[in-house]
Amino acid sequence: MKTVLLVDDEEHILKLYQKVFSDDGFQVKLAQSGEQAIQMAKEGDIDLVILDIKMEGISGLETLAELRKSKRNMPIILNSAYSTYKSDFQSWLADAYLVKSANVDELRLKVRELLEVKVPVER
Amino acid sequence: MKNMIKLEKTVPLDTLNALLDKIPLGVLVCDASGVITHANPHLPKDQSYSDPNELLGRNIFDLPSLAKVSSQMRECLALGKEFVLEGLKYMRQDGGEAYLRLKSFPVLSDGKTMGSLSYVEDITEGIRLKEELENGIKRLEIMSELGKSLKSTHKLEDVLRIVMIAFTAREGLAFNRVFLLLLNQDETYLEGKMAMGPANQEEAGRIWSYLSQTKPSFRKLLESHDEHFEERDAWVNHLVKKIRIPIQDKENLLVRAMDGQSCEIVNCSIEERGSGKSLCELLGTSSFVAVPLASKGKSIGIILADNLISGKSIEREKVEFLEVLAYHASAAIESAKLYEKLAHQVAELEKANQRLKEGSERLVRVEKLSVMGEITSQVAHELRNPLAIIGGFANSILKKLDPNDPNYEYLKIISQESQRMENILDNVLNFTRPERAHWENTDLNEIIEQTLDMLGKEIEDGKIWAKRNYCSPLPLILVNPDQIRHGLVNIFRNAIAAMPQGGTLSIGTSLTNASVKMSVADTGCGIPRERLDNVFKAFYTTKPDSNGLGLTVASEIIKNHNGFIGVESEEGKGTTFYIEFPLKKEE
Repeated sequence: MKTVLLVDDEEHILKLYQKVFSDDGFQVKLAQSGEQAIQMAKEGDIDLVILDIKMEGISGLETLAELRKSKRNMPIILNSAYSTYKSDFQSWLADAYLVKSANVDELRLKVRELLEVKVPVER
Repeated sequence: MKNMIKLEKTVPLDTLNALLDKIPLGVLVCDASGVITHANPHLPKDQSYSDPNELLGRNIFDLPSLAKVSSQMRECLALGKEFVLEGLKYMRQDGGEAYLRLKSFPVLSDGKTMGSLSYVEDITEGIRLKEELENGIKRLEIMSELGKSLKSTHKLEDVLRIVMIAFTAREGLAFNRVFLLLLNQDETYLEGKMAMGPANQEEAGRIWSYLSQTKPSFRKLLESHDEHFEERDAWVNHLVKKIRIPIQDKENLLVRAMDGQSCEIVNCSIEERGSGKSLCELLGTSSFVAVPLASKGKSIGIILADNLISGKSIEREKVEFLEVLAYHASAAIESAKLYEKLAHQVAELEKANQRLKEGSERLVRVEKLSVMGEITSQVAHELRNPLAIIGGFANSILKKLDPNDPNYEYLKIISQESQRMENILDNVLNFTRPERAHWENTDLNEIIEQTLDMLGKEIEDGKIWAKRNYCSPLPLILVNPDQIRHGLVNIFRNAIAAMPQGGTLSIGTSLTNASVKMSVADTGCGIPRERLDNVFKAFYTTKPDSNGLGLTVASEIIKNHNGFIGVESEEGKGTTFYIEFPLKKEE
């Protein structure tokens, strides 16, 4: 079973994504800050990260840069309410950039694509 | 008879003559047949004698000076009638014209006329003074009328016309023709500006007979705005417009006259070469007077006047008056010019003020918009998370829920409505995002293609045929491509939504001198006339699944590009949007 790390300082977003991705059959880990996420990634056993950008403490973009140092090939998806960070070159380190939406299908698809899970997403 | 002089035989003739010599007037005595018996030394001398004594023995009827009064003299001698004559013209010895006052009495003796006694007085000086006085009064009247007329207007054209009428009117200076030349704005050229006067004898005759019939007063003439003037002055105006003299040409007759600031009578018979001759030839005249115009010591132009038609020579005496008139004309012209300049400057200032006002209004608007934009953008972003959460949970629960569950429908509504709110946020964010200067010279055709590509799936699913009719190549326009794409997406989506059963989406581009145009036509349901005015208003929608912002955003984007968007629609046939971008981006 693949493990997805969800990083967001919004508790309810974490709850939503936890439900969505455990329903999709992933193991889900949660981090409420960039610092926590870096720590958890070090401990290993994570296949993909979904990363918010605007957070208390270090930002998602800084977290992204830090994660890339040790885990070069781990898929990381930036997931923000803002689309403006797309033009920030730091965001280009991510494998995907998706704007938050009530429709999580795109996010689900992207996760599957990056993890090469062949099971089609049930819409 | 009261004035009769009776000679007493007792008075010796010598004594009588000596007495007559003492009278401080010219005295001439003749006998009944007109033979002069006495002429006193005060008798004015004409060209036929130098000493009164030469007259003795000559007949009074032979004197050339008195030829005109011979009949009265005969009556005086024959019938004893006395007579007085004022202003009898004669030639002085020096050849000058002079005027006499003659008073003759019959000389009676025993009731019989023995001869006549005449007082002869030279009254030339008096007549001259009287004439001068009359002329002076007339000129004062002219000046007063002219002054009143000049004061009544600030328009340069009117001032010039009034001055010219004063030169040509019979009550004024009575010149046949007058030409006015003024310095140009840079004071580098003396340019023919305006002229007045007939083209030829015939025309002059017509004008004079017209004037003698209507007898307009000088005042009336000055006030007239008769079109006939323009018409009849066509030829002289044509002539005057040919005159253009560089002020550097100090040898030029007119430049010299202007620099000298004194009136000059030019006799064309002695102007054998150079500027004088060519000017004489142009005007076709034998002599003219040049009257410089100067205000506060500064030359502003020159007036030329002649008597081409009547051939009357220009009197030296007129020149003095000309100078006075020129002085007043100059002042009026100068003040009219200043007034014109002032009016021009006021207009400029008003324009500048208007621009400033618009600029500041724009600035305030931009400032407001940018503050509003920042706040709105902030709020929109903050709303995105809770929306994603609400909608996300609703969607997630929906998936697991049996569609027959009583809550299924309500959850569906939550999901749809949150989707709608997200769409609103998308539009608001795209519209208010703080502008990063991302303007590029762009090919509109390319942008349209990219946008159609982006909507490829929607177009295909909607069974829409996208028909392109591009004008190619199009000149590049300076736009923000992202914004334009966003605007076009909204317009295309609006068209697709109008054709739920499928249809044709025709997109065309065209080019004019000043703009690039495009049109987007659908074959959909059309918009009722009463709703057409509102299509670009925010939150105005008739479609249940639309947020009512799409076309508003599109129109705002196009307006931000100094562009134009318009719409035409026919119910049941379809709707066409017209968009226009200026080729040069204005400030």
